[in-house]
Amino acid sequence: MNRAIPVLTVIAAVLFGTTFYMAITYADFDAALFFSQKIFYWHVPHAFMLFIATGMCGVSSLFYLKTRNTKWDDRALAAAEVAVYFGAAVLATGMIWAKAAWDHWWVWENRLTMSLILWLVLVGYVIVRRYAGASGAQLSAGLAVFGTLGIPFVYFMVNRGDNHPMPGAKGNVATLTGSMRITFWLSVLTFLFWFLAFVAMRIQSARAEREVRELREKGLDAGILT
Amino acid sequence: MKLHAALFTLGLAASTAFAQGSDAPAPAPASDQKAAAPDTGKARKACEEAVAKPPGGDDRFITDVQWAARGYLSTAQLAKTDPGRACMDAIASFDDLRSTLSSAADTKAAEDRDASYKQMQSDAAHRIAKDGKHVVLAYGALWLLAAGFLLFLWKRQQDLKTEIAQLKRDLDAASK
Repeated sequence: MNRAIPVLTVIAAVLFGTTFYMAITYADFDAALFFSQKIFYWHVPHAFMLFIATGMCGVSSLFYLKTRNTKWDDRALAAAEVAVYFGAAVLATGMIWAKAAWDHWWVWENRLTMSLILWLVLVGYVIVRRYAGASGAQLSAGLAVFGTLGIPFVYFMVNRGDNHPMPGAKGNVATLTGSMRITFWLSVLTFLFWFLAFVAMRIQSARAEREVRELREKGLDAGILT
Repeated sequence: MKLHAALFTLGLAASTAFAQGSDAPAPAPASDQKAAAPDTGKARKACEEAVAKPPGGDDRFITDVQWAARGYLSTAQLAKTDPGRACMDAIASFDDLRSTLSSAADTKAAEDRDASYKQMQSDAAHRIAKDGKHVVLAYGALWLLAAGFLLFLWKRQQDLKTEIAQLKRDLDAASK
């Protein structure tokens, strides 16, 4: 795990630059959204990573609740923090794109509102983990399972009564062709590497935090710490 | 459009003067001569007047006449108005008139194409400049978030390493 982190980070950084270059110079212009559509190559892959991270958090939490094995708890916590990061990136780039394409920073539309709620649930998970003490692991695991159920709502909202102001935003991943398709999927791969690097780093931290707790307990038992 | 109409009017006036100066009707194909009514010259005059001063001041009439001469517009559509009918008859009878109107239509089409292309280029440049700021902002926000998150993870890991090392030293010292 330790040796994989630098490798994953370097690959992700190189791909990040490559994707940016391809999005600007190689990918065709979108007829409707024009130049602002370039934001799509970072915004949508971040949304995919948000879903993957949230899903990983929910599944790991479920396994943790079932087995009480702390390795699942570490994975859930790592995935949750990474999901908060990707969620913040999705919301930030989404708002900037919305301003460029529709001249509104935010619209209280189904998909956007559901994305915000999903992100807030994940923020709630992290807050519970940080401040709820020893019982926080179980409480937040339940919250993570609940949050994971929000993914299909966000994803499928696009075809279910979505009143998104921009028709071009409806299911446009499936309609991509040629240079746009290549650039988009390379971008997904790029952020998949970022996701893996971040999760690996965070799992490492979670293990270190656990070690600190165990050492402190030993210190308390030995009467060294008060 | 107004400049073009003025040039066109000048052209028509010149061709009319030439026709009057020659003191003879303009030559027409044999088939047209057969079809031509005795008042062909009157139709031409009515058409020239209508083009110089379009009915209702509508410049579209001039464009329609030009495009009918070029063969891009159904003459039946043009014949819906009296001056349109006169123009249709005159176009059918006078090659020089048809040629003048036709070349004016080509010039107009080329001008329109140029104007439309320039407008498109201008719009595209404006949108790229406007969208470019947002693209840079989005990319910058991503870099900042990614760098911030990486720094946060790295700092926490370093702090934890330091704390673990300290706790281990304390425990070792206590056990001796």
